[in-house]
Amino acid sequence: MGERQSDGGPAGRRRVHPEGAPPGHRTAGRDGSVGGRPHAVDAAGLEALLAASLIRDSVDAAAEQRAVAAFRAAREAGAHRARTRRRDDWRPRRRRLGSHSVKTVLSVLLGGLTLGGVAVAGIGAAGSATDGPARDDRRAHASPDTPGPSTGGPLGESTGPGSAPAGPDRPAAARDTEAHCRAYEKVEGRGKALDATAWKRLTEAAGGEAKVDAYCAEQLEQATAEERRGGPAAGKDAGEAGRAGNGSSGTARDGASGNAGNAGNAGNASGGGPAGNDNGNGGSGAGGSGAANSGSGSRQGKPAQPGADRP
Amino acid sequence: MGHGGESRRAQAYDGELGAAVARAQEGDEAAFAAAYRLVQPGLLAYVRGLVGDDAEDVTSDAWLEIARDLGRFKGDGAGFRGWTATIARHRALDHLRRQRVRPRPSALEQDVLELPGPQSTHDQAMEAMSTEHALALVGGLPRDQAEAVLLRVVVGLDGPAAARVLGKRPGAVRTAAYRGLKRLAKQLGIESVTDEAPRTLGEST
Repeated sequence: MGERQSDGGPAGRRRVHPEGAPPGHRTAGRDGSVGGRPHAVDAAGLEALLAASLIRDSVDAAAEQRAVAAFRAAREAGAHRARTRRRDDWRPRRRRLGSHSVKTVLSVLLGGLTLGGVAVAGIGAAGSATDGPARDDRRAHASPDTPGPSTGGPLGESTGPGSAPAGPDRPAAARDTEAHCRAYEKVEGRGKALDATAWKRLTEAAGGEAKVDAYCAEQLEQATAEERRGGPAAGKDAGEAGRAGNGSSGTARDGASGNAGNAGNAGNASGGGPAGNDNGNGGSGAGGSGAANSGSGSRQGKPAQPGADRP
Repeated sequence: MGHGGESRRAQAYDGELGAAVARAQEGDEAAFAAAYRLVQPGLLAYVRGLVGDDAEDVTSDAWLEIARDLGRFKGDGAGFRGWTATIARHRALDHLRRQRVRPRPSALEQDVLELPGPQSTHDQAMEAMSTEHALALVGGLPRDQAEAVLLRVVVGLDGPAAARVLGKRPGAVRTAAYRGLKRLAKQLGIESVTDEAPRTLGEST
């Protein structure tokens, strides 16, 4: 009987009148109650009965028209393009939660990896920064203290790569100077950077501030030549020079940090084959004036290198 | 048997309703009217349980908001029932707040007294039950039970959806609906599982 009612109620969605009910239905009901089965009407039957009683099927046409008019007005006003708020989203919850959680997990993972990478990179950067001055100190002391060829004649000896003990040291000093030169181009005229020890040394080596440009051009040219020639030893030294460049900028605190990066780049890039890369950097750093001045000073007589320097 | 006939009915209509809502969201006026006709009877019955005689006005206001915000809605037919019920409920509660009237319709007591007497068989009582009687019965329930019963029976929402409309936990709403229905069954002389003799309405209230 319960099924009966739940089927009949929904179909009509109206109150079930005694007259309207099928005879069999009524008889069954009577039998149910008379036969002492008061629970013949189950919960579903009760719900169907309540629904049938409470819901009036007739829809007020005027109210419907008002609603449709409001719909039309909203459509024309463009209100239907409004954004969905959380309370407007009635899609099945399980699906939404599932996709959401997957998305969340992925983004959390990615974010974690990214941040972790940044953190690791930061550790490396901090380490090199603290390393810099120490190495610089060592080198700064070492290069003047080293007797003979390294400080004495970086220019004169540069064509003699044959001597084994001089090999590692001399080009390193040359690189040092080279890095200083590159940095010098950037810092010139700015602040007190030029007062720093490294600059003073550079100026002394060049024989006066006015000659720094020419000196540097020569140095860079020479560095390029060495690189072309250079084997693994030269590569290693180039790396050293790069680090030295990094460190020297640490000494020249004011405004030199940008240069430090540049010089470091030069050193790193020259480590292996990509001498061309280094050339490019030199060109951009020491370029204009330096290259022009070095026109007369290309004492090695190697036409290829100046050519490579000038883009 | 877990779900009432009304919710089964609602589910049968949900496909049609969902399609109508989707078309209405694309601007189809006739589809909106169709959705209105599918939803309005249950919605009005629910609001009537909340605010009584003002239900027509309150539901009408709710429909203005529904028509305006239709573009925001996301979901299927069943979701649309829940969404509209939420809007109508907020309107009804606003209305009650303005009126400072308790949600229970005041005309209830009279109706309860007119319910069929103990001598009537339960099916007579049921078949003869008018809207007013049914409303009176539901209105006689505690507020949370009445709402849970109405949302389930009249609007056709399942447990989680009704819980979302009411802003409560599904378990609490399910319990409330169960208790409410049990109480109504008792009042109607329908003993679902107990062995005790059917009580009269006067005794049970």
